[in-house]
This record gives sequence, C-alpha cells and structure tokens, in this order.
Amino acid sequence: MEQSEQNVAAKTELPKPAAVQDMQRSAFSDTPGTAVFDAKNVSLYYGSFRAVTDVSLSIYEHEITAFIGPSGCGKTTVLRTLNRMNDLIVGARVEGEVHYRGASLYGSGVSPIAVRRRIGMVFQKPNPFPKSIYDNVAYGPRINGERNKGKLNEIVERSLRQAALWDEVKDRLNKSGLSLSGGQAQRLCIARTLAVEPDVVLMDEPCSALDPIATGRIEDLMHEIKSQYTIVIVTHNMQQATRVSDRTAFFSVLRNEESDTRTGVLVEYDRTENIFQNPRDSRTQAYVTGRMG
Amino acid sequence: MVEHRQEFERELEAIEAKVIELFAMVAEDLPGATQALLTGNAQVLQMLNEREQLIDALYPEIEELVNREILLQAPVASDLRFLLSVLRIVPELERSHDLVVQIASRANHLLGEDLSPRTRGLVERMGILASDMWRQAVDSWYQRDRSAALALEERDDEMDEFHASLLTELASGRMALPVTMEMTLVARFYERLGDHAVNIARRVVYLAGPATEPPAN
Repeated sequence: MEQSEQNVAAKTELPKPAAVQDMQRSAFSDTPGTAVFDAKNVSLYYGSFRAVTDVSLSIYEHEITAFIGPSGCGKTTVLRTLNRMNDLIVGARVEGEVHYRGASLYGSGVSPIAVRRRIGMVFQKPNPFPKSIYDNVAYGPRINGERNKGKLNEIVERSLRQAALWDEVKDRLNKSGLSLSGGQAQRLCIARTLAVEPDVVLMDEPCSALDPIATGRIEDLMHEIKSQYTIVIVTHNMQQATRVSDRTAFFSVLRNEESDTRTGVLVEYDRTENIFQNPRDSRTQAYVTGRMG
Repeated sequence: MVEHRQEFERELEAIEAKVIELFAMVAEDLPGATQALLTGNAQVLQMLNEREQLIDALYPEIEELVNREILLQAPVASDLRFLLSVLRIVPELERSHDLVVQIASRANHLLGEDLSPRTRGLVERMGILASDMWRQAVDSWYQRDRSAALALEERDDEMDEFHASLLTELASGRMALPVTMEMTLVARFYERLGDHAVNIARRVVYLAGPATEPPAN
C-alpha cells in the first residue's frame, strides 16, 4: 500500500473509479464485485475515549450496504470515517486503515475536500440551503468551477430526475429549498449530493424524519441509482435494511464494566438475507428479532 | 440489554405447543392403529376418529395463528424459520394422522386371522418401525436436532425394504383377494408414514438454522 500512498501524495488525487476497476476486479475476483472500501482494524477515538473498536469490512461497488445496530454502537461513526467527516470533530482520531479503491483514505496528501467530492453524504435531517431549489442543486458544480449556464441547467435537471423530484419542482425551481416538505427536502439534498457525480453516497438515517410514503420514494430512488453509485446507509429501521440493502453490517455495544465505558464493535457482516434469516451470532439474532437492544 | 417482545414470544410458544400436540397425536395413535389392525379391535377406530376431528379443528387454527404473526410481527431469523416451518409441516401432520386412521379402519372389515403369518409379522415390524421413526421425528422437532434427518433417511430405507417384502408376500396369492387388496393399501400407508417422518426431519434442518456462535467477546 506504500506505493499507492505515494501516488496519492504525489497527485493529491484519489484514483478514479474506472481507472482502477480492472486492477481491482482481478485482485478481488473471489468477491461479488469490486471493493470500493476496505477497512482494516479501524478504531475511532474521541480524545481518549474509544468509540469504535477494530472494525474490518469491505464495501462493494454498486451495492447498497446497510449499517444497523442499537444506539451508541458506532455505526454512524464508522460511516463518517468513510468520507473523513470525523476530521471536523476536534480530538477525533482514526486508527487502522481505510482504503478507498486501493488508496489510503487517510494518507498524507489526501485532501478531505477531494474525498468528500467523491464520497457524498446525505444526513438524517434534510438540510437544504436557504437558497432556491435550483441553487441548492447547482451549488456543488458551481464550487467545482462550472459556470456554463446550459451545463448547469442540464446537471440540475438530471440530478433532480435521479432524485425523483423533478416532476414535483420543475415549475418552481426559483422557490426556496426551505419551502419543500420533509420528504421533498430530503430528495433535494440527495439531488444536491448527486449533482457533483460522486462515486459513493453515504446516507445517515435518511428516512428517519420522513413518513412511510416519502420513505418509500427514497427507497425506490436508492434502487434506481444503485447501478451508478455505491450506497452505504445507516438505518434504525430493520425493515428498511431488508428492503433496500444487499449487505448488512450489524454493530453492537461492548461494555467494559471495570472502566464503565462503552465501545462499538462490528458483530456480523454478511449478505442481508443471511443476517435476517440465518444470523450466525447470537447477538445478531437477538437484535434482528427484536429481543434485545 | 433489556429483553422485550414478550407478547410475541408467548404467541410463538403457544403455536409450538399446538404443533407438539399434533405431533403427539400422530406418534401416539400410530402404535394403537397397528394393534387394532392386527387384533381386529374396532373400538380404537372410534377413538381415532374423535382425534381426527380435533386435528381438523387444530390445523386451521395453527395456520391462522401463524398467518397473523407473520402479518403483524414482521418475523426474521429463527422466528421466521419457525413460522415457515410450522406452515410446511402442519399439512404433513394432518395427512399422517389420516393415514393412521386409514390403517385402523381396516380393523373393521379385516380379521387378524385373515392374514398369513408372514404378513402379520411384516405388518407388525412395519408398525414398530413407523412408530420409532415418528418418535424420532417428534424429538428432532422438539430439540431442533438437525442430525435426525440422516438417521431417519437410513431407517426409511429399512421401511422401503419391508414394503417390498410385504408386496412380494401379497403377490404370492396365499390370502383371499379382498384381503390382499386391503393389505396392499396398508403397506403403502406405512411406507408413506415413513416418508412423512423423513420430510419433517428435513424441515428441522432449515428450522434449526446455522449453528449459532456464542458471543466472541
């Protein structure tokens, strides 16, 4: 991995998906697809507190991977290590290795900004900017230097269509993003994320503030865009995990009685149907059947 | 961590109890039916017919309970495997008890003396074997023992051999034609009872699921 780190440092660029695809395919020929992320023995600290311990997992291209588990199990923390969102928290520190398409995500010379351009994120609460619907979606491309009005129009329409919002807002693109309903606002945030054509979309409980109809729309759209993106979703709703995801990672909390501390651990990671039909760990069994947690 | 979903847990236990009840009726009535056939005791048949009515009521009741739990509780993992397994084996239990009643009903128009000694011997042994197989099937379900399927498949080969021997004996023409015809059916009923026991033990493999590992930490 040293070599790829040097490459990254030299170019301050993360490898493009297409460029490494063939290489990855041979390297991971026994896996169902190309691994987009490889996390090895990742622990995350907030100061001296270890929030997550020793997580190792691979996330595959064009799949939807769900993280489930009780509160405080570290699933959101792990999600945020995938696009270096934890860098924004003072005192947060990552141990272990996170590789994104073969390159170390935390290597020296890798800019967190470049990472987040490639790996977008949708948050729990819809957070449209206090700007027009159009400007919300055009925001990212403009920052990336896109000035061509025609090109921007195209991006805005494409992104809103992908987010299944176009038909509802095409006649009021100049209205404020804050005027939308909760479900629409969340789809606007998804459109805003898709507008910069990321490789990966991280979703942190994207539907927890939405009603079942709006949730259904978001789930449909996840299915529709997964052929073009890789999606990782944190969800508290296990039925949602079974409906949308290809793979599920179950995290749990490990208590240390002596020091009275808690740390998140990855208990089991498998194809979703195995996690929900034939879980191998008794803790997974207890959690998915609703007996514990 | 707190344990919850106790109501759901109780519903599942109630379903299991009813399934065990069905199992018990088949396993208990099978030796009685063989006995009735060999001794010509028609009283057993009346008792079995009453049981049959109980089963006819219990069978749809279990189905309805399972349907409701699947609908309302969104079961997964061992809960889902259990409920689906119940749906699949309850018809096997109902049909198996039918076969038991069919065997016993031959006691009505067949006298023990009508049978050749070899036929009697074979029927007796098929009866014992079928009863054993059913006891094993009940245990495998109750204990979620995924190893029973293999053992029962071997015993079913034994049953098939008895079945073939009995047919050969019947074909020899030593008994009156009506008796021979009835006994051909009886032979088939035992053979089917063996098959159902094997089917159930195979369902248990799915029901038991993978070996659950204890927490690693």
